Amino acid sequence: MTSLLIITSVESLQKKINEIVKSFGNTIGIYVSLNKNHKSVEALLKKEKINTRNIFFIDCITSEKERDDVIIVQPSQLDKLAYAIKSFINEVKGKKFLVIDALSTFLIYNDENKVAAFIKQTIEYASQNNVEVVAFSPKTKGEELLNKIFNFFDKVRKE
Amino acid sequence: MEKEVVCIAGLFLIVILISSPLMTAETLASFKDSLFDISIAIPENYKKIEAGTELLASIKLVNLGSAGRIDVFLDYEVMDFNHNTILEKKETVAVETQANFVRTFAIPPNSPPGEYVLHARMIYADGKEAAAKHSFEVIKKANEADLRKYYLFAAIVITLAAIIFLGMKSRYFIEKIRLRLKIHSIVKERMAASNKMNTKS
Repeated sequence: MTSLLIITSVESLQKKINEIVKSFGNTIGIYVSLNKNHKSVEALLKKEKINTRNIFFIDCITSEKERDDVIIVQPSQLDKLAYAIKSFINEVKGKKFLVIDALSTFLIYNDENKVAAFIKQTIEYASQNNVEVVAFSPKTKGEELLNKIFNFFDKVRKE
Repeated sequence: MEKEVVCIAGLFLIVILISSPLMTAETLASFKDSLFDISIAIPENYKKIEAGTELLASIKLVNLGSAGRIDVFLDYEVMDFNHNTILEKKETVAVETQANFVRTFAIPPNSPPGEYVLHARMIYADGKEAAAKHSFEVIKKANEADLRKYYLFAAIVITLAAIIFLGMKSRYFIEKIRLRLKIHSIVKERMAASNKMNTKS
């Protein structure tokens, strides 16, 4: 299983996310939304005819609970977020993927080193459990963070 | 008759003293020329002591006059600020040119807190005197009841801190369990729904 970091422009970020999620087909996925709330993400994915029934959302944007099947975690609660991701990885059987849609958003709420530690921990756990990880980051944001986390990923794509 | 006996005995004693090898003309001269200075120093950590403990003082005697070993008499007195003597001590010390020594004074346990003075008076030669003094403070002794209150207070603070710490930890732990259970039920429901759809199709 691989981990991939995609650095792209803000304009094409959603397009890239759609492409990647679509490429996983019917594989079960865990989607950590830091860019848009789960409603918007789901709508955009559905628009691209992506089956969202196989995707479990962890919403870091919405502050109030709207749906029972969505986990809401504040982006400042990295421990809780890591635990939620681990729990999904443990609960979902079979092949699965993990998407984190805008790593740099974490920097608004957390210290750079804490974010780097969280990413390292999550990638390690995913790799031990055969989960494919794809993380996105807008090009212009969080240069320092990106320099720190490059090495944790198997592949880095700048587009 | 009695007066005569006393006078004869006195004269006899003077004769003995003058003819004694210890009381030479030199000794008498040194007594005559001697000039002493006395000073007291109390170490910093003894400047505030509890009643019932010991006061430690360093005494320094300096013979500024002629050389030669001389016995001097020392009277120590510890007085409170109303000049009431709470302790007395006497001793004789032999001094040649200088003497430095440390003395301890057991302060009575019932001494009330306040300022006290240690007086030292030295008498030498033919009644010459030198004196020095140094003040110190007797502070309130922490009694057992106070200590018990202090330990009780410390125990309460530690217990409260432990309760708060455990409360916070358990809250975090409970939150984690809740999250885990919620994720479990989300996955279970979604999988069941997905299986149902697959069966239908």
